[in-house]
Amino acid sequence: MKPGVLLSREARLGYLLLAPALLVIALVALYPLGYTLWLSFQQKIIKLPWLHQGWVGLANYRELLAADRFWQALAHTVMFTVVSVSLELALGLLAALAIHRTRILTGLTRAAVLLPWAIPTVVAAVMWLFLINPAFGLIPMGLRLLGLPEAWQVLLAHPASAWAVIIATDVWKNTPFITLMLLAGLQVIPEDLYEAAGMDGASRWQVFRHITLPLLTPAILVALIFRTAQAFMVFGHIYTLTGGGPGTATETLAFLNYQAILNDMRFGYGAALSVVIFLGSLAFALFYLYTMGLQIKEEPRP
Amino acid sequence: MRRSGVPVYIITGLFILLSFFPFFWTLLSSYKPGPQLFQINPPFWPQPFTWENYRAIFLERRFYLNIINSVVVAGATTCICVGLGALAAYGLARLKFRGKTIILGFILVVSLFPPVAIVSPLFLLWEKTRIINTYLALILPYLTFALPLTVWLLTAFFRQIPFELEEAARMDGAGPLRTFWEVTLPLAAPGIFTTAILTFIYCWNEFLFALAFTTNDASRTIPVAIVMFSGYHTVPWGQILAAVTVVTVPVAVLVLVLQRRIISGLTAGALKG
Repeated sequence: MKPGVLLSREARLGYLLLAPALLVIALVALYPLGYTLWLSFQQKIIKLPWLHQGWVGLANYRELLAADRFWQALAHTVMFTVVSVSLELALGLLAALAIHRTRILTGLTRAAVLLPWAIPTVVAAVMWLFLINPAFGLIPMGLRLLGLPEAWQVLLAHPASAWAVIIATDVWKNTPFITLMLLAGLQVIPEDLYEAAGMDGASRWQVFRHITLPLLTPAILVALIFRTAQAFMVFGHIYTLTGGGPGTATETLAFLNYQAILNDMRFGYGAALSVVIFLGSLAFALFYLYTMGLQIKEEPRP
Repeated sequence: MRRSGVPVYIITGLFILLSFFPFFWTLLSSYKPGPQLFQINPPFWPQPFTWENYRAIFLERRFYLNIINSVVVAGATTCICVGLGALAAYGLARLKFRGKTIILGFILVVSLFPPVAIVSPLFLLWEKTRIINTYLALILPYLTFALPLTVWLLTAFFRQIPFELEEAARMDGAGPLRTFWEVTLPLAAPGIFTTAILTFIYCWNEFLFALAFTTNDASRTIPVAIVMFSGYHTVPWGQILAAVTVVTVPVAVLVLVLQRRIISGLTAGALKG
């Protein structure tokens, strides 16, 4: 058989194998996305059926960009993403370095670290609501022992302490993911590099700065990108812990979007907000593709 | 091998304690009778120990319905995704054709897109076709994040399988499909299993779609059901904690038994290994 013929048969089989998955993705993701775009130019308010329903051009976008609540939610989302992901990276790195060098009970240690990651976000949030309950929660009890004033113990009543709770619990839930990614990264660093550095009399800091950190950078990047994308879409965590409150002080973009759609039943306006969020995350995904270009490149067949 | 000092063990121990303690406290509290739960300084051990909260969630709230819903939705989504994903991933990992880079990039972009962006049209579509509160109303949107994940993971796992065995089969005259079925698939079984666990966990934990596309207690999945336990006036903390325990204990066992696989899955898509 000629090699050219074999190649084309192989290519045909390749497309055939991919077709079902791509078709399903197009049907369940691309079609609704197109629908969202179309809806974003419509007025569709189910609660107010007597209003004009139909084409309104860019009115939804104009209203959105003029709304303080949107800009506030955007600022909240960026703040939450930057602060929580940075804390998770710092703690995750510390945990990974420590666990990597722990030689006993390694399986149990890894399982313990995995557990917060593996349970549903909102189940973790509900558990923390119990732990911070002002009347009988363990954490306000601890704050009482520290002698903090009573008013401070109602943690979700003030914007600053509500954010502290949101971020701290998010760090608790998501640091494990970064820890595990970095642990995997640490495991592929050859041990003899450390031995060589030890023979050259390098200090611990020098070893970390010049061997561990540079070789860990790919793992750090991947972990950061996934966590950033996730944090940017935070919804269940906020919905369960604060419901966006007090007032609108902890609303994020995804939360605001959900409220616009399922609380206010404003499908057109909600769709416009969705389009804006989607464009933001698309820009981020393309940036990710650019950064990780090497990962995607087709590997030559062995 | 470098020595591990005492600080290393202290830091590790601290992380384990912080991970575990909230669960441990929840578990203990779920067995406490009401008055003890709401005490200003609650006792450490439940006294007396009570199953009342567990009885209430299963017999009064029919929490088992929510567990069944979660198992069916996550299970069905996982099966569909692994089936379609294995075919696609084999093509991506093993066959030569144009456009693979673009397809992988496309799949990655889909996996990073915000779920909330399709809630508006899907709600209208589901209302119109009356599939709100059915399993289908959740399985279809779950495919949007689960299918890209499975394709991505399986491609990474297929690439790890040595190519020589397949080449030998091909030399012996087996076609690509037969090679896939008789050589690749058995070798890929551990990777497929890992992918299935991760996909299942992601579906099991999903909240946004489950909240948007279910409107009654009987059709809710576990996360939504637990959040909805709270009424307007009272929060049944004992029952909430019992439900949290019921869903966490199996996860803890799963994680303990399968931690190696889960970690290999988490890292396979991202790091070459």
